[in-house]
Amino acid sequence: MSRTTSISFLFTKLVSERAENELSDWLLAGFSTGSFEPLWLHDEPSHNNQLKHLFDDISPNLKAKFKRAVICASIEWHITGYSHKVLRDIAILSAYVKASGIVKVLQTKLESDELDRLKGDRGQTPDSYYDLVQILIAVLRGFLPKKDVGVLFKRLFFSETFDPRFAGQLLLGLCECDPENYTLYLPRFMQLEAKYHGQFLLHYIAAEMERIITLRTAAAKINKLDSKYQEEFLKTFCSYQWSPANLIYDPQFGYALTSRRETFQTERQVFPIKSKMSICWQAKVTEMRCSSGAVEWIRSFIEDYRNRLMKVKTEDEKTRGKE
Amino acid sequence: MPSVRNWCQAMQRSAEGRATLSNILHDCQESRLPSKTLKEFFGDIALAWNRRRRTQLPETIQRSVQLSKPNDYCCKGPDISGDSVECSRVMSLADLIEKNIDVAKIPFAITGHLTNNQVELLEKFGFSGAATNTMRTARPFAWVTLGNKFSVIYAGTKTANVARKLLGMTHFQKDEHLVEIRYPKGVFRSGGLFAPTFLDGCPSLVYRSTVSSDGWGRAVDLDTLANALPEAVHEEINFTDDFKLRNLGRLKPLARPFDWSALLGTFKYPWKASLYKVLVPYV
Repeated sequence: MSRTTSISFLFTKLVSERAENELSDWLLAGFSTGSFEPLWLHDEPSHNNQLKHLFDDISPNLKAKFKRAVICASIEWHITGYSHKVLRDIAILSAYVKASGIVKVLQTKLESDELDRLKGDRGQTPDSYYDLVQILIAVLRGFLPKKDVGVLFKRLFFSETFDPRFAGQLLLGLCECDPENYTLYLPRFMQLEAKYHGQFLLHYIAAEMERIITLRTAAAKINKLDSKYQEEFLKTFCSYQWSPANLIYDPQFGYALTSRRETFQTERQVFPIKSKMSICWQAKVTEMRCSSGAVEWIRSFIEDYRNRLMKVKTEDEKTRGKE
Repeated sequence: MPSVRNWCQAMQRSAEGRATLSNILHDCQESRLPSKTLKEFFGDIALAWNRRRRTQLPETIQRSVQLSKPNDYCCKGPDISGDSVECSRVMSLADLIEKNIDVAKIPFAITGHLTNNQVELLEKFGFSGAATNTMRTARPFAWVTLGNKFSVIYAGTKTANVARKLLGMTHFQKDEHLVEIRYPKGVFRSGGLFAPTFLDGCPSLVYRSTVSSDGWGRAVDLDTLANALPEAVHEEINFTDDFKLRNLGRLKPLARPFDWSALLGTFKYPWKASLYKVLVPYV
């Protein structure tokens, strides 16, 4: 029997023969010491990854049992008995094996004051509280659009006491739950960004937000944003995928962006904007070749478009009058 | 010490165990490890063997010894001059996200997978203040190859599969997404790069201790079993924004298990029970 086969065999035997609470103890001990006897795991990939691969090869019944053991381990974890890294690893393993029961456990831990005890070494970078909570939120995001997660994220995001350093993650999580309502969350994030300037990597958040809410939704709902945030949104968030440099690949953009005005949406019925605008847009993007001045250009584009639209309507009316 | 002899006898029952013993033999014969380290290692093996449980495999005993003193049993091979070398580490993308990225700053969800767009973002924007922790594996060291030699893998497609083959990485067996992490130039200027020995590569990796003119070890080519790309190990070092990422893509799962018996025929000092006498001075 080769080593690979024997580890796989040993894992199957272990999961089938041990009770859930024994497996849970085995996981806690393994993540605490790095030794998962009777298995001997490689130094890399991570133990979580190796356990996930072993998990993939067991039967559905054993998979369900192993998932329950993972959840049990997360419940058993307590701050006085284990390092924060153990909960970090168990949470990551639950994400890899899709043990959705972890959501309730992490919800309780994040909303209780248990993890606050880790803040003792705050000031160091990264401190244990930060190191753990960023991972727990990233794990929870993997279970979206689960309703419980959305509700939890909303509470944390709008909480005055929750650490604002996680606001970028929470914003994206909330957008994943409810992309149509991104305008509800963006102002709070922008306020936090202004207050803790430099804390967030806006280019990453912008790129992720563009992926999550999609251009069409962003454009369709932008008028729900307070005007002072509209400009900020265009300037900050239309910076990666939607920057003029990239828009050449998306001829629908001009259409989507200008249709944010309800009047335009009505009027587009009489104006073949789709094809004309895409040609116009592409020409402009090619000319600009960079994202600087994007906001000004978008604004002038809209004005120009409105004028052209008015001109067509006036000419139409004149023609009708003559008839 | 009968315990060490018994441990060797248990190890030699499997092809993987004989590969480990051949590497130990090589490193003793070629004096690649300080005798103090070897004596301490065999002393710990003897203690662990005497305390073993009936079901415990000999590889598990070696592993537990290495984990019990993680800093003592890695990076003990000969120094390699790291003055101007450009090093690269090939690692799992999921591991990088798990261990080395501040996900509050680079806000990716943890699911074990990233989209191609997200990997492109990491390539394009870099770590931008979100690099965290250290470059290491489960033990406090990591494997690297020479950047200029490694670049040959970009000549064709399926780069992740080629990287696995030329670096002998059977421990990436499934469909892991691999990335190349390029180290900043001069990171090992003041030392810290070592030729690998059995303490680093055994018992879990496809590994063959090798002496080469440039001082680097050589990975085993998984197809031909010949020496492939240069390899070295370093103690854990801080992971910073100066490191760069290059996407290697997703692996195709290994079609068949690695043939350990075939590897045994390629060692300079293949293990035989009678060669235990070579270990005796250190036991």
